[in-house]
Amino acid sequence: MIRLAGALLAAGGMAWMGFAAARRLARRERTLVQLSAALSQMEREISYRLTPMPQLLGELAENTPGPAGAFFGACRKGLEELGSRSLAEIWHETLLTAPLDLEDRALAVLDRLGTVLGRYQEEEVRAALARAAEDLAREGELARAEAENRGRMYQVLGLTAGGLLVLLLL
Amino acid sequence: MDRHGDKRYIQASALLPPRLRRWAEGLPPAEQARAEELRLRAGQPLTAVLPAGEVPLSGAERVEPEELGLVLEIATRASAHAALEKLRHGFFTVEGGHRIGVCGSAVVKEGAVYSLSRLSSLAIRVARQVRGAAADVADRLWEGDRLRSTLILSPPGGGKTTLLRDLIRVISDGGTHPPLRVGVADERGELAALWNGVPQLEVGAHTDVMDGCPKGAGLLMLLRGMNPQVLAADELTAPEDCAALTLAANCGVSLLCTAHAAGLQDLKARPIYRPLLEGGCFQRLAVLTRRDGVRSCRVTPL
Repeated sequence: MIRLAGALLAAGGMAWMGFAAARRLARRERTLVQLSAALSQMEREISYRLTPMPQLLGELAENTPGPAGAFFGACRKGLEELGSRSLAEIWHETLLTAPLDLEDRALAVLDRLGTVLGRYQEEEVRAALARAAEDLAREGELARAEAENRGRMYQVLGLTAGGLLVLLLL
Repeated sequence: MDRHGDKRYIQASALLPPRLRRWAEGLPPAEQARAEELRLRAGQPLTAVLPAGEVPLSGAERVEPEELGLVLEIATRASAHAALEKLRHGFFTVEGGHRIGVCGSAVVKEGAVYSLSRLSSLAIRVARQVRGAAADVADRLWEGDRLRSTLILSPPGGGKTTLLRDLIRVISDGGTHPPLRVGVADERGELAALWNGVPQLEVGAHTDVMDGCPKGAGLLMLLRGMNPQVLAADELTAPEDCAALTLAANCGVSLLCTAHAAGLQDLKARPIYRPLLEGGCFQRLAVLTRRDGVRSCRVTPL
């Protein structure tokens, strides 16, 4: 009986790992889509409403769900240190600590954007935002494809590995 | 001023990035209290403008070009895009009323400056309010119970804006005379230095401020919308300003204005002011002079 329970627990654990890996891929896609949408909104706000950066980051933090919203919220909080640190430094350090769970390519897109935000050359800022939004949308597409392919694979692998483990242990 | 330095100067130097701020705050407190401007030029050491002239700050090394951009980032709270319209005019006002003048390579579109592609220098003018600057002048502008329209003259840097601001405060708050509603067309944000709608410099309890728009348009909007008893504007430079003032004078509103001129003869030599003088829009002339560092003001009827 104990053997059976142990085998089921181990199998359940393997399956959970497979499903967790698949969920992580799906979450990454969602985060990229949310970040891309937020940057597009940022571009519109800067172009048409001239919304000041602290207010803009605050609004994005409020309206963007999940880790992307938390990232903007942390940047907004970091702005309180503007004067001791530049926006580029605040943005970069927030990227390092925020639980965005993105791949290096997407992080590099965001990091590059941080070096332009807050500059006085408005067109450069708008162009950088549009480019970053596009790049992240593309990364989101790739992440979706990956989530569909590898996500299903992880789920199957988890279940199969769990099943094999049960067979081995019983 | 306290032992840490002059409050206004420290507030202005907080607009600098840490490396430059350290040098600015190293200025002795007595000189901080007299400092008029901080000047940053790419490739040159940071300097302060004192009444005696412009001096390099002790230990200051050359200002890096990217530090000029950082000053704008700090001053605009990373929102230079929101201050772009003012940047196009060459300056903008920040919290505390300090004014930042900008200089660099202009991007021109359809014949007008669109933005700056590279900054080359910045001038941070420390906003200072001299309460009592108008103490010797205010009473001389009244004739019975009527405030006479007054034009304040001096060469640049003569203290016109300081005197006008204190006159606005005294007239708006009242004292020996009843308080009056004053409308201020503060095109460059130097008189009241509005920040989030709140004047950063004292302009009195009965003062309505219209800032950021051309003086002529601002004066007309105030006249139509705010029912002012007095209209004030700094540095008349455009025919539209003079046309708006003529209209206001004909509506029975008292005027308080300033112009760059050494005296009446100098003023008469400039065609732009002719309609105002010929139309009798002003009844008093206040001429500011500075001799041996001491400022004085002579008020004469016009």
